[in-house]
Amino acid sequence: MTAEETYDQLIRRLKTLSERLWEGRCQAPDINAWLSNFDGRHCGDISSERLHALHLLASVSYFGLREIRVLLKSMFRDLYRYPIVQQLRRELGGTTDTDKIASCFTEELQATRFVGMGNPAESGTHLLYYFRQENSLPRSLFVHQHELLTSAATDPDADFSSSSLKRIVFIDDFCGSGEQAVRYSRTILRDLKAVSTRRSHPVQFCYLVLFGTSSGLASALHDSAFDVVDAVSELDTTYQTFADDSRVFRRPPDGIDITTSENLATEYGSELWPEWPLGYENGQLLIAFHHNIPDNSLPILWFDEGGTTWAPIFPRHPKID
Amino acid sequence: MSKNPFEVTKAVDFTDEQIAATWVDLPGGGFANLADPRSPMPRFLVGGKGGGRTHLLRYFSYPLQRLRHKSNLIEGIRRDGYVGIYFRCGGLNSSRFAEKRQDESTWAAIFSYYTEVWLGRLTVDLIADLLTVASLELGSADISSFVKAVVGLFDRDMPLLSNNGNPLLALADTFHSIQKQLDIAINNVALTHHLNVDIGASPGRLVFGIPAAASLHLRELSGLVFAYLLDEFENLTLDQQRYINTLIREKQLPTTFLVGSRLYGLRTQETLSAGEENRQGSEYDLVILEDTYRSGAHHYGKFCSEIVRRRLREAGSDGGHSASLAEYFERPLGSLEERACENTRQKVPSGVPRPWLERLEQQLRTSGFAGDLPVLLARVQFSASPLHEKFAIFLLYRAWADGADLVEASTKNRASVERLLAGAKNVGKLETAYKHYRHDLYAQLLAELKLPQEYYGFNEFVRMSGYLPRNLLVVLKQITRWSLFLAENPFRGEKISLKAQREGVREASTWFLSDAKSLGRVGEGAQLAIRRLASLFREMRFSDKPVEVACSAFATDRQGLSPSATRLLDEAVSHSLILEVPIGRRDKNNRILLHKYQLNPMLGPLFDLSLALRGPANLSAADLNVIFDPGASDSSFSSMRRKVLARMDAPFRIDSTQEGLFE
Repeated sequence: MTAEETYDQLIRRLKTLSERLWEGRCQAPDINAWLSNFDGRHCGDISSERLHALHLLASVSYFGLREIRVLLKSMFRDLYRYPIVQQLRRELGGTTDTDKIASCFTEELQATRFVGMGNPAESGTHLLYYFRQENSLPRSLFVHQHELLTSAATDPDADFSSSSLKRIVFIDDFCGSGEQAVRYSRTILRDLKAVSTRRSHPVQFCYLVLFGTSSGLASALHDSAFDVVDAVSELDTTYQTFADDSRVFRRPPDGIDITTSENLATEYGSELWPEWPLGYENGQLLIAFHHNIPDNSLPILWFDEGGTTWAPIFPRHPKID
Repeated sequence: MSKNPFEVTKAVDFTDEQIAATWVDLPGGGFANLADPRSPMPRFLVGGKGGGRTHLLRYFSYPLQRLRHKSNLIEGIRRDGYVGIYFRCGGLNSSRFAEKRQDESTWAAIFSYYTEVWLGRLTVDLIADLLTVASLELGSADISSFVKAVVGLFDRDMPLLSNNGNPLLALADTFHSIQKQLDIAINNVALTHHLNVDIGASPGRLVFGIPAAASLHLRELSGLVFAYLLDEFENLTLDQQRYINTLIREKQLPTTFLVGSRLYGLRTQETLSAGEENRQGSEYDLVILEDTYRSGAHHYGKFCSEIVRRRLREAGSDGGHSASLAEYFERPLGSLEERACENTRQKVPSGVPRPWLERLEQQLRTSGFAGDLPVLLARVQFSASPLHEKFAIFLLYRAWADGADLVEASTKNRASVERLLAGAKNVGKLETAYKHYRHDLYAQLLAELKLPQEYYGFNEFVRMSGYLPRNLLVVLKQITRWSLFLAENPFRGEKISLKAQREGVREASTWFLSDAKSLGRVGEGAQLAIRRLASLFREMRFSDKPVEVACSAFATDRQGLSPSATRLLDEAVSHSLILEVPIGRRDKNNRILLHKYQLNPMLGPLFDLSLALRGPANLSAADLNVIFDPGASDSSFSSMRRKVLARMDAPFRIDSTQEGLFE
């Protein structure tokens, strides 16, 4: 197959993806604008650079709103409900009495609060709305982080707002390096745990995400104070674009090779984000969501900071700290 | 994303309102001439997938009549002269009426009663609705007489359910209840293995009796024909079709039938009436929609244009920008000759030999013409017009195949081609040959320059549809999708780019072939045969000396075809992968009338073929057996292909394995 034929084939693939899965994102002019970033200055040949860039783009896993909603259903069912039901059955002597289990589960649910990870403007909080809708949950189970306690954590009289509280579930879309979970352990989680100890009020702290890299989840589990860490979908090293066992280059089209692709992403990525040219903590991911794209994905896809002329294909809405 | 006016391509997915809004009558007499629901002669409407049967039958149905005659329903219906009772055989889920430890005769009896009840229910519902919507002031005595007559059609007492004293609604409720009871019994037989059904009416009693009773007792309905519009007949089993055939044979006024089916769907014409068969022209008429479209090809073009315009208007796209639909689509700039020149200039750097000259040089050198090479190459070169150069080479190949003196022939041909290039008249046969072959030669030129083939223009898409309007909608759907992807503004003043047309056509073509996979084993066999036939046509078209212009058809008298090849060829025709051209051609030698078959033009772009229908390729029965017999191996096909192409590719040596004339 000639390079032109591979190019055409990739464009056809992108058209199908755009139409069927990517919610109409990435129309031909968007793709052309993005490809125009690659001017041959790193790999010596514009056509080759653009062909390799196109392959990377066609390998992106994009999760639209419809998929996110289904994943949030799965999160509640598989990561929250089932473990509790299993525990209840054990405690009830292995009962199969569905009425009894349902009634006990309702009690557990009422003793749970769901909180978005990060501040209210971030994706964790953004997802709560859909999470509640998809799982038909009452609004009372969702609170802001500051509503968990009766007063500031530093107040010696502070207590949990709900006396029956058993479980706090922090929800987020993505766990890349696990750093946020660790940071929470040193701040909010530390304060909440202190109240729990002071009041002799045991509370379980859960961190549930839609997607998590294997290393990020392991870090969150071992280095943070969360009791439970889980993801609907765990991304192993095959999702790292340039790993030895990368799924992106398992059977690349004619004219595409991993070395050129990595050079391309690294060289252009270095111009955009010198510290992490292949994504935060060397994430090397090709993953994007309806509402945003994680910074662990390749910066050539999303970099949209002022001061550069780079045209991103999935512009990232940066966090403003 | 903007809305694609062609997104829905199946009438079954339309609401009644959409059926009405997208309805287009056939120019030159209209569909009523083909299928008159008032005609006492039952009629089968058959054809390939996407011929418009469902749209037509639904258009004749009562819900659409209701929409058409909003202001005065009864008057409108009386003007129509019929009421249409639409019924999808697929909705019966015919596999329910089989096996589960019940014998065939039991299921046959249950099926016929179930169909009686279903059609009876639809008719009673229709009458109840008609009387309500039309607010007819019928005496209660008339309605009671009608209801009493219908109840009397049952072989046993049929107590009516109560419905606030309204006997007609009570009758409708009773029919619903009977059908529900039947559904429960039939659905549970897999579990209970016991069919607890009491058959309440003899075959035909309800189907013919209810319309007769309505005609007799409800004076506003007297004189109306009750047309049963049975769609998707192909979904019925052989036995089930026998029952419907029996109803058709024993039809009683004021009832008639219009039956829609795929070409392959008519499994039998047998009836249950002492094994009698229904005969075309006697018990029924048969209309093949594609043949009708083809016989009035200019009407078909107009019909397609109107379908598209209606869609565009419905989508709010047709702002009157284009007087002709062709105006919506970009055309390539310049004549074929100018495009050939421009493409060559872009793809072949100056000083580099053109690929067709390089190939010729190689062939001549390896075939013993090395000494004449400079002369021969000089004779065929026309650097100002690559298409004329291709033609001069084609003429040289022709002389080579004929065993002529190449230097002499090329000298003579060069003079003629020069005159042709200069625009001289009366160049004779060569001028005609050039006119015939220039499109194929241009296609070859594009392929040799590694450029995609050109498929563009509304008329080309109509031709591509193969007389199945849905195919045209599929092509336009894919083209519009591509146009939207390319961020164009299709059908709103901006022309649809050549790229969108080319890619959309390719996608529609791919879809058409893969859609055949759904036909199961037949589909797999047909796919293989179609791929073989199409790839052979492609190689013939791109050979050094194509024999036929725009090669996409073949002719055969069918003698010598093996039974399995014949079966597969017929299956491919039934499923519209191959179109049989109604008036075949006579053999050049013995004047026997041959069947002419054309590869469905929907497949053309997938194999770089022309969409035009010209002369058929010369394939023997043995060749066709290799193509169509599912048992023929790939190596047999390769060997046959080599043999066929040996006559068309330099050095034009007939394969030694070829059979002699009298072998």
